[in-house]
Amino acid sequence: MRKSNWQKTTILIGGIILFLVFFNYLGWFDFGKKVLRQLFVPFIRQSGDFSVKIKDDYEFFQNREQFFNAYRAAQLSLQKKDENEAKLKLLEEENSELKKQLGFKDKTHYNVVLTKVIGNNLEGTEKTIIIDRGENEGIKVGDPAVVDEGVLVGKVIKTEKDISIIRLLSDNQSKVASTIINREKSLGVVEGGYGLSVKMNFIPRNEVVQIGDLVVTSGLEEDTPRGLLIGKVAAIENEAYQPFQQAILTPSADYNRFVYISIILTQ
Amino acid sequence: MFKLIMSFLFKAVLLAGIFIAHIWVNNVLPYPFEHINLIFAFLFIYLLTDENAQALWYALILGLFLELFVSASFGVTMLSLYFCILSTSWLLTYFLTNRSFYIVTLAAAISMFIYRIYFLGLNSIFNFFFKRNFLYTSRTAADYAYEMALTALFVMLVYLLLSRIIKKLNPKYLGKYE
Repeated sequence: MRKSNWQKTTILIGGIILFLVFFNYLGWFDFGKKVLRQLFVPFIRQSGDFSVKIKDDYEFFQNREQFFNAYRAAQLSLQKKDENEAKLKLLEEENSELKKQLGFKDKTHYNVVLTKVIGNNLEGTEKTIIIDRGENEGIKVGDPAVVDEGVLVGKVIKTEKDISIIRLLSDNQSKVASTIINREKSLGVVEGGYGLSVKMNFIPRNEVVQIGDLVVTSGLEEDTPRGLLIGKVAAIENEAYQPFQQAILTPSADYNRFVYISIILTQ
Repeated sequence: MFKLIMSFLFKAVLLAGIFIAHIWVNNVLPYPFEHINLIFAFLFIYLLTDENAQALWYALILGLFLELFVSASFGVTMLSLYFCILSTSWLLTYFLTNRSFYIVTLAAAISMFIYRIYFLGLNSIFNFFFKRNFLYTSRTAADYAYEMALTALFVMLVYLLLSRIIKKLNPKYLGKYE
């Protein structure tokens, strides 16, 4: 009796699953999926907000000295940023002049779609997020996702008509061709899967990398423009017997706190 | 009729509750505890006393909910859960028949491993036909290992607790339900 119950149910459910999968790819269930998603998105949002709130509460100072040290470090950092901003402006003006003189076309006019994050991947082992725009807005697989003014946070890996899924740089399957802003413009590959930080691998051993160097996309991938900021070098691993050195990066964006993300539409 | 409706409503609320709890575990707990697969844990524990293959129905519905929020191709998660529940049922019926807590933990770990094998296999097949890339690295394996270990431990704790409350789960009373 038990065995026949199982057999009948197995065949019935197997048939239902095949039916669902087949007709999903014909687009029959898009409306149903949208309705079901809308039912659960508020819970995802609530849990995301709660998660950010409790992580904020982790950042407390154990004593007065720690607080003042953090304050002084923040002041120094702000001062350095102001200095760098001034230098950057000068460099931008020079660069613009040089480009005019050489007749280069300005290739940095990105076509961008602003999207809102509506959820995280519930599969458990992937670091991906779901946004509320999809193929209807021209988003396609491989498009880079950025926040602020050009900080790369991931790439689109799956699109449907009204939503897309972005794989964050901290995911263990994420790989981005990148370059370090140092004298040699060292090339490498930024990979995720190391918890909160990312690692840049395959940096030639003979090239000098320093802590604090900025890392940006190299533009060697088809759909990822050059110059999108990824992070800063926080530590370097350079073993004598290894052909390449590695750099651990501090990402320039907090991967747990996205509300809005821009997708760069590439041809 | 009223009983049928109430039973249906109860199951609907239970499944929605399990899914929402899974959302919270996934989003709120810190690394590596976010890897605990609450849906799998529920299905496994239900399977220990399931006589009428209801676990398969629950796997279908929870798998469908999961499909809305995963990056794998549609159908991969549902089919993986389906095959995993079938394999686990066979395993629990013919191999790991003992219901002591350490065997239940071992069975949960093996079952989770089987689930991931099905998931990787089906993902590879779907990606081959839909031309998507899936990079399986040592870090992916580490994540799966965390998921297997933590989910099995979670199942063990829940089983130890529930076996004190629910007679059907307590090995002392097993003979009465044969």
